[in-house]
Amino acid sequence: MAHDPAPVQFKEQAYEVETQTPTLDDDSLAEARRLVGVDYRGARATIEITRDNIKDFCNYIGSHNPLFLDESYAHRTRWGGIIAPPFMVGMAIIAPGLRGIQWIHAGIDYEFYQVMRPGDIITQRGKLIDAQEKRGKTVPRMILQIGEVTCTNQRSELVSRSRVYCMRTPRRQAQGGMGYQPRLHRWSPEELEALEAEMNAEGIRGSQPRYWEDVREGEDMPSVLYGPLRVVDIAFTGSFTDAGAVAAQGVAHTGGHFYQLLNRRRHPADTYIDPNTGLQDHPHRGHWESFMAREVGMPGVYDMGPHRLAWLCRYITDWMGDDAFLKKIGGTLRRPNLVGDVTRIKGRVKRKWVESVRGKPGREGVERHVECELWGVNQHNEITMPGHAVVSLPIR
Amino acid sequence: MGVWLRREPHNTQATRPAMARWAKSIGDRNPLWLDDEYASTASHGSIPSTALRAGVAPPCWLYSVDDTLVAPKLPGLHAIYVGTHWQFQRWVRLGEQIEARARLLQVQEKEGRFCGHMVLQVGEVLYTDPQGQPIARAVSKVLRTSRQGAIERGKYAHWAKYQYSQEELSAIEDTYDAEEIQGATPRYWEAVEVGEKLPSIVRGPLTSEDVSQFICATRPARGFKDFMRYRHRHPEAAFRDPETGMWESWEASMLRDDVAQMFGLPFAHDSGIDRVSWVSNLITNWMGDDGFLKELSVDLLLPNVYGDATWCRGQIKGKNRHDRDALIELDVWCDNQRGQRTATGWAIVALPSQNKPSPAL
Repeated sequence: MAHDPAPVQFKEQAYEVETQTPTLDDDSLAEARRLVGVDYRGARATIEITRDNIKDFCNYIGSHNPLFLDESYAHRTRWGGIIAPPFMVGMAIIAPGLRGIQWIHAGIDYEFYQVMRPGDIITQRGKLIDAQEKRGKTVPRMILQIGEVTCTNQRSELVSRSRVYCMRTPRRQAQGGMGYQPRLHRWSPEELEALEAEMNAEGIRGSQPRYWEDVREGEDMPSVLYGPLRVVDIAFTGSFTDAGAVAAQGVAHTGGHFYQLLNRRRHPADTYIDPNTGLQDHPHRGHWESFMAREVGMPGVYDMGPHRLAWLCRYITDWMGDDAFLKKIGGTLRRPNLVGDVTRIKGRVKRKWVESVRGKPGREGVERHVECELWGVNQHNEITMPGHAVVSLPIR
Repeated sequence: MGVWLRREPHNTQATRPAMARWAKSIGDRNPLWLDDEYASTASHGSIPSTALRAGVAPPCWLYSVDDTLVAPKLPGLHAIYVGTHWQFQRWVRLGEQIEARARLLQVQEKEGRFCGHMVLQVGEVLYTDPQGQPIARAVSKVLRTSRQGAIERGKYAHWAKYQYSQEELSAIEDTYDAEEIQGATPRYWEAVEVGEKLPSIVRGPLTSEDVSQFICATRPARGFKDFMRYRHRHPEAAFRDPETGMWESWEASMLRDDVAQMFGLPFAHDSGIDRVSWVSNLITNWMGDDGFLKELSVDLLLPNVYGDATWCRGQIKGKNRHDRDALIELDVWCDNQRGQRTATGWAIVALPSQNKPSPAL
């Protein structure tokens, strides 16, 4: 179905739109870099951590870890109370400029310094730090925008620093647009039963410490399964709860109806008209609607990058136990994860070492670290998300 | 029937992020729930109330504690939400803990054009503080319908996606831009006349963004392993997706036309309680910070599908004084862009009176 999507027309809008399927050219890189270093409005957010939004975020990422959910349990841990899953903040998308060029979340690299607890007020700020041109098989020319996000708490302590990666790809009907062939996986009842058995066998390390001495280099970590992915998993489990929205859009409290209208007026190039109804809507809806997923150039209805990356958070926190501290973690979104796909998160301990740490006088010492290689793999054995983590573990 | 049911609350505390997120998901622009600074400086009438000065939640925010969908048993019959009658005792205050209990009150057999034989389940949800003191009561109505029966009768099979003209879309924009919030200026009971109309508000044209924001703010769906466990306990809560063979929950009908059509609705649709909440927004915009919504009853008559715009309207039906309260009775209703009435109801609002202090808090 070839059509030229008509540009939108609002009573007032930030700028005129010539086409909703523009392409990248030789000037695009300079435009993508224009805001390097500037405090990026789209990443500014103040997030109040509450027991309820921690629970929401756990629902979203599939975590049942009692350290995040059960106050009486968490009270007996080294933390003395509930803490928040570390991925609740710091995943803003920083992708200024290049109007009408689709943005695809490409990954994150986190460093964590403090835990977050209910009652903490987290201030998130971000800026673009670089943009690079990339060449690919599915999209001939793309631009990778790299941002840096810092989150501090109400005591002005740094909680996390992250690098966020966003790939800008022309939409399918643009010249040089992304053009995956459509695909949809079909499951038999027997296969589904086997997947369920796999999910039921997953466990949480929790109160049983994972001692540094006991971890071997080269050791495989148990896998966890996500899927087959449903459209309800993407849209309704928490993409627009506090943490979900911060992760997906960088801002707290986006809003429906009038707030959507404001957003369309501000970003008319990111307002796509449905040819069947003439209605204006956000291209974001390719995450649950096959028409828009095809217009973006995806092979089917596709997951949200921050959602899949946050599965790494659940994976590592389930594995490391309550006494550990997650120092660093990252993941790259390499291939789309579609409705109907399964993702197995797997890992292997790559190395372990002792690191001396600076501290206030009397508090200097050593930390015992392990580095893990992580990856998400789909039912076709394709690695869709390579990743890594560094965890500080307790000793006997 | 009558037995308190096992419920999983969503929000348990009226925090600023929880109420702001929810309010924005219904398109509510009232700074009373959105803005810490405004809420702490608003006068709230002639009685300066320390409770109110600390901030309050929009009345229907309580849906995010318990969504009032009380539809136990009857596996195989679909559940369609058709209305709520709210009775509010007082405002929900910023920071307070809320608890909710729910039970089935009544079951009635019904006949209708949608699918022939239907069962109406009437549920009750009581919202209290942790000491059990009442905050609000909701009586909800859920129709349990035959999926096959609805497909065979095809009541909505002739519905087509609406094609808007540019003029119609601009008119909707105008209505959004004209939306007024009475706010800190008291609307006195004496100044309100029977027959007077409330300034209408519009919500929509409904998109997946609106619906997913509302669902996530109100009652996020169970994902992954939780969905699997829930499905094992309630096999009727899911169906096998014809395209992938995998299990999917019926909530997908709020995203996918083909799933909505599996039980006789024309297209992907709203959740129902969002529409009731828009009507509450019509009233809170109008009544001002010093008014108090005492009762709101809304019956949902027709589906509200993706692409539909909803105009929420109201008219003053009566005025009376009861005990200390100066009360206004309102008729409220929703119309869509096809000119169909998709909801009707009524409300009772206590307004400040020039002779009397502010209404019940």
